[in-house]
Amino acid sequence: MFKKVMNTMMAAAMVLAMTGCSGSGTPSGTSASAGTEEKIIPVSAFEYDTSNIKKPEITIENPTGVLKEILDNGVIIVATAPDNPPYEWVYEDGTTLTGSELYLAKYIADILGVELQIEQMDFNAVLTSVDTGKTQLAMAGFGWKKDRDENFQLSVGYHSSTSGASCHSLLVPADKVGDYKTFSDFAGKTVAAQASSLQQMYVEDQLIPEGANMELVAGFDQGVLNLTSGKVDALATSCSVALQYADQSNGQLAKSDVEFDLSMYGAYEGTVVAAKKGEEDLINVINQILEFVNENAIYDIMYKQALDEAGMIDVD
Amino acid sequence: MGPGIIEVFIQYWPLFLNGLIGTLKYAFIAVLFGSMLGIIVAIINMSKNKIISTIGSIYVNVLRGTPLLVQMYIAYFFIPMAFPALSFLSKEQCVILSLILNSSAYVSEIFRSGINAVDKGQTEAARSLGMSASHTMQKIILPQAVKNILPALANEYIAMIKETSLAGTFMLYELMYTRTLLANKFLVWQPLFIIAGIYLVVTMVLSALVRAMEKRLSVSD
Repeated sequence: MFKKVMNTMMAAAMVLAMTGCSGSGTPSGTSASAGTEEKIIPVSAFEYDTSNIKKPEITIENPTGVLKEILDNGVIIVATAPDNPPYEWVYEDGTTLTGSELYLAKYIADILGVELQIEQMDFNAVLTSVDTGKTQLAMAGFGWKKDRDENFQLSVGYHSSTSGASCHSLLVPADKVGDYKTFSDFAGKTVAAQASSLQQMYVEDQLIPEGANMELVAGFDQGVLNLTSGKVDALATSCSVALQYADQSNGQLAKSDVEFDLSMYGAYEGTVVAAKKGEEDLINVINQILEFVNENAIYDIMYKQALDEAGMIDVD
Repeated sequence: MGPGIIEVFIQYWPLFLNGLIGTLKYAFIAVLFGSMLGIIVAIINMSKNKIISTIGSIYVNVLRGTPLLVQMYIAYFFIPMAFPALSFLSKEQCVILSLILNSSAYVSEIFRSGINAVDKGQTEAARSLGMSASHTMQKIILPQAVKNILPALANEYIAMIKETSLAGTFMLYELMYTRTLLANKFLVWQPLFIIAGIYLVVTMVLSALVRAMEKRLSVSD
């Protein structure tokens, strides 16, 4: 198997290197990836200006625990795994962090009137870091899960109703895209998802009952490698990421028409913020902010800006 | 899929260069300070006092017997918790600290075996000439031990260059971290081959240098 994968990759590498083929297969010019020369000036989340965005009135009485610590120190420390554009990613300099979730983190910090500090780490380390008190909030595309709710204090979900931020689908080989019309078409197929991501929850709740198998991967890039080397049949991901990879794959990959149904998650639809278990004061304040964000479709603005900045394709 | 390895390298070579500089820097710091600490650990280990030498050997066994990645997680998350006085350490410093501690365990064994490899007759001859124990060590044993130690220390540096790849888990800017940077540009497989190639070239060049050094050092044999 390994040999086969190696051969496929080497052959692909040789062909691509020799023919100098770097353009994308589909006619979309917005790609900020290899091949295009356009330089986008990085906007770090720290500089994200929230002064024009509506803010809720938050009343904090007798803060305790981490919330008190944040207000006393005047700084909120957020842990993230910057490998998931447009939600959170890092520029080539290795220090400029940005993305829609980090814009939201800046928005939260501005409402609390504190400085934002972001710690970047591996996805697996993010939750450990809030649990050990190293950081105070975890924002890395987490979904609501029962066992996660038992071990961490989770906020309500934030999402975007009009833009593609709440569209989650599957990346599949382009020649198989017609085979998948409904969830039941994934019966007996192996679907990869990033461990402890939103998509893991969607696959568990919506595809496994239909008879699909799930393969968990540590990083999203490993999922793409699994898919291109034929180890899995599909990779669960957000729609815009699926479109981006499809666009760059020279016609090998495509976004499936099957999209996950998110309405079943109620107040926990979308991405949640995690804090250490027991930090109810902090999460209550965060929930007030997030409910305001959801009511006023504020995350839509942030998502669209991040998508533009990442040079990615929007779903609609 | 996507652009080829060579194109990715041509477009993003400064990233890989920065990553390589980071890798060499972290490995150098780890081995340099690891060597200083390693000398102390080796002396503790060779102590005639059983209690002291046991402490030394526990230190070495724990650090050599557990994976470096686990040590990094512990250094990053739990050292500041266990020793609040150390909570000023940044993430980078915590990861470098675990590299140094890990390196010191290996280096102490290099020193110990290097010193033990010098024939016992040398000590006996020096002592019977009336030299003191410390004088014997300084003038007779250590100059000969260096010949055993230097190539092994250089090899430890080469090994450490590969070990530092784990620092990428904590988003330190080293060679393996370029994979994260490029995955954010939806390039997932090309960086792996480029990174592997760079590691291979660097370790092969350094290994050749070590072999040349060994040759020079063996002239006096």
